[in-house]
Amino acid sequence: MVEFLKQYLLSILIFLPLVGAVLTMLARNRNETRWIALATTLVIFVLSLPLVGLYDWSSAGIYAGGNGGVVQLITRVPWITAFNIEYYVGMDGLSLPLVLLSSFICVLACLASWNIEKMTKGYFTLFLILEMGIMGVFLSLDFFLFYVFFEISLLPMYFLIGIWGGPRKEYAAIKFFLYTLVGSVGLLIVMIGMYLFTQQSTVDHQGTFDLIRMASPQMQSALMNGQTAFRAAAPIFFLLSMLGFLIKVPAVPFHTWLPDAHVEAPTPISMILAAILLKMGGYGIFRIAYPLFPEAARHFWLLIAIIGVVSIIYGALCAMAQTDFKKLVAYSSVSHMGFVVLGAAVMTTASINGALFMMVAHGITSAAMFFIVGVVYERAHHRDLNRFGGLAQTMPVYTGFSTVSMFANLGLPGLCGFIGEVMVLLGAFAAAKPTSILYQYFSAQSPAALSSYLTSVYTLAVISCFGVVLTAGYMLWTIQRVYFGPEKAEYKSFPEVDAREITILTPLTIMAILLGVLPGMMFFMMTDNTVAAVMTVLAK
Amino acid sequence: MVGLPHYLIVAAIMMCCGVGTILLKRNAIGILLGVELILNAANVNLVAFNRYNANASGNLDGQIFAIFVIVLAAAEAAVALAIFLNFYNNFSTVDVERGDNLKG
Amino acid sequence: MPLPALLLLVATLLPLASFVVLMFWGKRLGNPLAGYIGTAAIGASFVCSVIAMISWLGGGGSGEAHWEAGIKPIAISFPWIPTGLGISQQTAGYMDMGLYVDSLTVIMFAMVTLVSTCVHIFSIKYMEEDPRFPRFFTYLGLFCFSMLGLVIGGTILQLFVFWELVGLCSYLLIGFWWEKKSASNAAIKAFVANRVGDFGFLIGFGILFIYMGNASLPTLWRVLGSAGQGGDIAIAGGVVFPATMLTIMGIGLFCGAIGKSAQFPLHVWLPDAMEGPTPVSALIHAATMVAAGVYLVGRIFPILTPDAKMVVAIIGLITATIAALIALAQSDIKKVLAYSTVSQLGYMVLAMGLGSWMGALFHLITHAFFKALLFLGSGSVIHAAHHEQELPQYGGLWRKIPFTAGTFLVGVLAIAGFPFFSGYFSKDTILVHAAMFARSHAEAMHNSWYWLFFIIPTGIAYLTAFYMMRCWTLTFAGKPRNHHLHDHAHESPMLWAPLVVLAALSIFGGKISVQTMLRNTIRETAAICDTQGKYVGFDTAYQQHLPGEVESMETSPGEPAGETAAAGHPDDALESAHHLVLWYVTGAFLVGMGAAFAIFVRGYYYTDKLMQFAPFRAMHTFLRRKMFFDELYNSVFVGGVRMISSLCGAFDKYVIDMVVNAIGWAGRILASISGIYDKYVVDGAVIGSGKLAWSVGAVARGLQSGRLRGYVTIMLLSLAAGLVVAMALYLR
Repeated sequence: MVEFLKQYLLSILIFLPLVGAVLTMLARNRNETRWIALATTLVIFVLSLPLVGLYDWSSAGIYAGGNGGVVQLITRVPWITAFNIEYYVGMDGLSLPLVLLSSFICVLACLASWNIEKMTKGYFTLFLILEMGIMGVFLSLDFFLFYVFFEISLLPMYFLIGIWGGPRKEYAAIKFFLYTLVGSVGLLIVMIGMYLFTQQSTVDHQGTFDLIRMASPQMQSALMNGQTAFRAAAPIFFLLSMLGFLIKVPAVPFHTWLPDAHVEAPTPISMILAAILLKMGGYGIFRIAYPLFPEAARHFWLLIAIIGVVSIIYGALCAMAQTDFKKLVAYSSVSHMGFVVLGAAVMTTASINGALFMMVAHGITSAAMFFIVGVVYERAHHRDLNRFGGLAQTMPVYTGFSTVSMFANLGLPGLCGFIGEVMVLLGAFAAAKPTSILYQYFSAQSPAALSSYLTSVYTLAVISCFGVVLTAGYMLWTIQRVYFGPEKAEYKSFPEVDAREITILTPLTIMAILLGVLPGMMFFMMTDNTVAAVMTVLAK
Repeated sequence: MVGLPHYLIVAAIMMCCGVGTILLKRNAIGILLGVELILNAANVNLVAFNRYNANASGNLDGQIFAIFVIVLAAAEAAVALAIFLNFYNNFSTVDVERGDNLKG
Repeated sequence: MPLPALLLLVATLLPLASFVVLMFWGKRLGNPLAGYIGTAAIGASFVCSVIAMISWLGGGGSGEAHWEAGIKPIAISFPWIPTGLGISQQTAGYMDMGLYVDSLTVIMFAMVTLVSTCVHIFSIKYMEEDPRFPRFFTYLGLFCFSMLGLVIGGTILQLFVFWELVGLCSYLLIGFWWEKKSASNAAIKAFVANRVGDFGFLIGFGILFIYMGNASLPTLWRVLGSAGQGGDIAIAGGVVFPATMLTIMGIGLFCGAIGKSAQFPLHVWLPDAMEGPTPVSALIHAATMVAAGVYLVGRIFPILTPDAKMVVAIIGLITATIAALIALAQSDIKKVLAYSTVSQLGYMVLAMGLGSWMGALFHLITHAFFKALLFLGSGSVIHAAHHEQELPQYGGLWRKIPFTAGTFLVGVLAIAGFPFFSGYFSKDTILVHAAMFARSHAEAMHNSWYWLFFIIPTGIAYLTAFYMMRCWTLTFAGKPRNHHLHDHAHESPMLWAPLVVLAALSIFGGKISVQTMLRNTIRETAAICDTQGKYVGFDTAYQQHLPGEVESMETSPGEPAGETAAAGHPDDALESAHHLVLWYVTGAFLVGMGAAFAIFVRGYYYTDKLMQFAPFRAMHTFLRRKMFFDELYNSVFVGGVRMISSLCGAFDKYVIDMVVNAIGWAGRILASISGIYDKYVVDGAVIGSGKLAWSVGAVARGLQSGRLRGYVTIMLLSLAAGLVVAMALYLR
């Protein structure tokens, strides 16, 4: 049984949503559709939990698949043999937390979709296909397969926004689609290019799409030492793949699709978009862009770090300027995902740990935030912050939940946002340590390069610290505008959150508190094995 | 002495009469008559050429040709009269000026 | 786990339990049961703390007699967040959470739980009519937990965590009456001001993190204990912690204290925080949370460089001065107390900066008692006066609420430095050190400006006595100015019982074992810091710059260095400073109190006369409007950030999005151009040839007249033409 699960569980997780999608199509009425979808997501969630137990935590921190490597639970089946493309899925500490997060959020988002009236069947079918794409992205280790799932996840999203969205849904859906597609093009170029380059660097002239193998020291040194063309192409490839992922993350200045998409998307889709789809960008950075091109990543660290810091500060400032509740949350996503980018850029253990934690923490808080916006929107039919007020009197339970998520979002200790934020910030400072990867990279160049490097590290770290002040500012201001103040007559009749809404908010709140108090329950999944392994890859 | 030119002149006069008839008559029957006249003018020519051709002594090619033309004319008259009947059925007249339905 | 640590841990967790219980069942329990539960929890905490204290004094910390040197504080830690740290380590390290218990912890616990208990009891009565009564005790429980967690915290990160949590509670409680816009504004202001301080703290922590990781307090002291000498420090792995970085780190960490302890320039939030319920002001914004900044500076004191200490001293001096001046002109009783708190906190921070660790923390404890007393007293007054807080409405209340008036007077006497009241001792300690510092530095640096560090605090002592007595006189003495209010005033035992307890402590707080405990802390900490023999000492106001005396500071390990510093050293200098200060303190007390009573016993009679002078009026307005700090900050910082944010928002909407849209438009325009090309050029060719055929046909069809005669004519004519042509060709 265990062997069977080890062999096939990941594939089951990927394709079960597809089965569910077929079943929803067969459903006879709206109610049945909803229940089938919910059951599917629940089963997936339950099935994703054993992954924690199936993974061999004692494995050494080597970034490789198979025995002794951190990538486990592997299934490899040849797919398109002419190009050596495989169906290759596996899991490590990078993907495991995100898989758990995805299956968890999908259940809640499905529950949040309960009152979708329009074309229920189509909605839930697309929803489940989306879940398949998500699972596929996080679990596939073959570049081609990854790319396929990356695109698969795009399409249902397009329809989900474009059909079930708000007034400007077409604009938002097309913007989202085109934006991400631009990124995908970069990724496609990188993928094909890497195939061609690996073709040159292997003995049998067989190219590969195997992401883990591409990052392996043998392949890397063969590529870097054997081919001058690759040395020239690697920076471009790095930037192209980063473009793809930064759009997805999204980082300033590639972020403008996000507010529009969020504002127009229905609540559950916003939850998935913010909680999971953005994480594909972060995941891609850590799975593809950095391990495949560590040299280029070191070379361009400043660019990426500046993008991260600008996202943090600029996102927060933009959030402060919004009057639309949902847009504010969307911009706060930009700000928070900036920490992920910064964490990747400075390449210290603390910062990468922090960035990975930030992804999960933001997944939880942003899902909660978007749901909270959805709850109030459902009642008030508008999202204008300046028109709200006094909801704490009308809906005290709701206010309690909201306050917890908002404080989790602004990084209050004891709640999940804090850990990621502070780890990334401290990690940014830690880049000034002589043992850090970048310090050694620059100290090998020249004293002048080193000193300008240190100046940039300190400057960026200090600036990004200022983000915590801004975040507090706009979050508290939001709380004040929505919940505080005298009770308004027009909102007096609002019903308190109902059982379904509490069912959605409670797990999110519990997770926010649990991760904040016991961050180790996530760190144990990634630090000792995967992050350590990734660090060795990056240091090469 | 009557010679070939006399026959040819007669034939030409008949021909001209036939053409004139076709051009001037509006009645379909009249036109048919005109056509017959032209055909017969041709017949006269054929016979006359055969008679006065030194190389053709002993054969009757011209006469046989003329008989063919007469047969043909009879067949043609039959077909033409059938068309006229139908024409009459459709237009209640045999005035060909009225039959301009095929005008482009 | 040794008994005291265990007890303190229990004492920390009890309020958390009450928080959880009240969180879920508070509404059901209702009023006053929720209050009783909260009070019982914190009361039990207090009992635990007292037992822990007894056990500690009995040597429970290490099993040895505690009064001797060589006591080992309890430090327990467990991994919390993995980081890969420690400058010499390549492998993964951990950020620890942990407990650190020494004498200071024990005494802080006793103080915090005691004041909390008093405030809880007071609140049951004070808040009884509030519809959100259970919520109030829920928040109080969370606050007590956070505050105790802060005090027991063993690592910098943990300090920061609880630091933020007390900030949260402060936010929640200031905004407790969130229907009022001013309350929620004040709450935001408090939190954001604290966050600005935390911004600095994070930078300091970041720098510390580069070199040390998240160090526990003992590690910090052990490694960086020689920071007080101002030089670079070589730490493990051959890495040097440069002095500049040490200074920046120290100032950064101190920024946290600036925020939390409401120091200049972030002092503006504390007076606004008086929007919260008065018990909250007493507990959080007078006794405990705002003192946490001073506590933090006390904890990082050994690793502050002289430059950093100088910054600390200057900030403290500025704060103490401006707050004392502003307090002179405030008319809201709570605002007077708030500025007095700011001023006293400035005093403590100044003491820290001058090197008087002892004085600062001693004053922290005594101040907690008498300031909590004063705030609760003001609460009692406000309760009696039906939530009227303006001094001009009071007057002559002592007849109506005698217990309050009496205990309030005790508080005033204590803060003003009435001999042998608690405030007298602590203020005396600070001023003695200030005098020593000023003299030694002025002599060593040949710069008499250093005397300001003594003159200004002494001046403030006068001011303190004056404005506190003004407050008391205007409230309780003289004739009633608002008779309606006066007639309905009354007090209740539930309200004054805690006051009596606190009043007793305000009187005797200076004499009980506080000083001994603090001196023990110095010994314990010094023992840790002293491992390298380069430790400078705790009460170092005057040694550093006296040539030839630094050497004598270097005591052999194990021997309490702080003891030498605090008590023994240049005996005659200390003695003379004591005499000097004694007169100044007593003088300040007498002059300040006397002047205030004389001026204000007739209400506003004299001041109204003074107000007729324009310069005085301008001065009064300037102080009354709090030196226009709020206006300045609102326009410059808040307005600035808002403006930048709306600029960013507009930039995003109109520039970045426009660029994106323009790219989209460019695509569409390109598409339509190619569409036009396709339509008119490519397709045009195809359609054009068809059209050509059509038009030719249209011309030709004219020939098809359908007229028989026409056809025949044409036939004949063409025949004729053909013949003519043939003949012409033939004849040629």
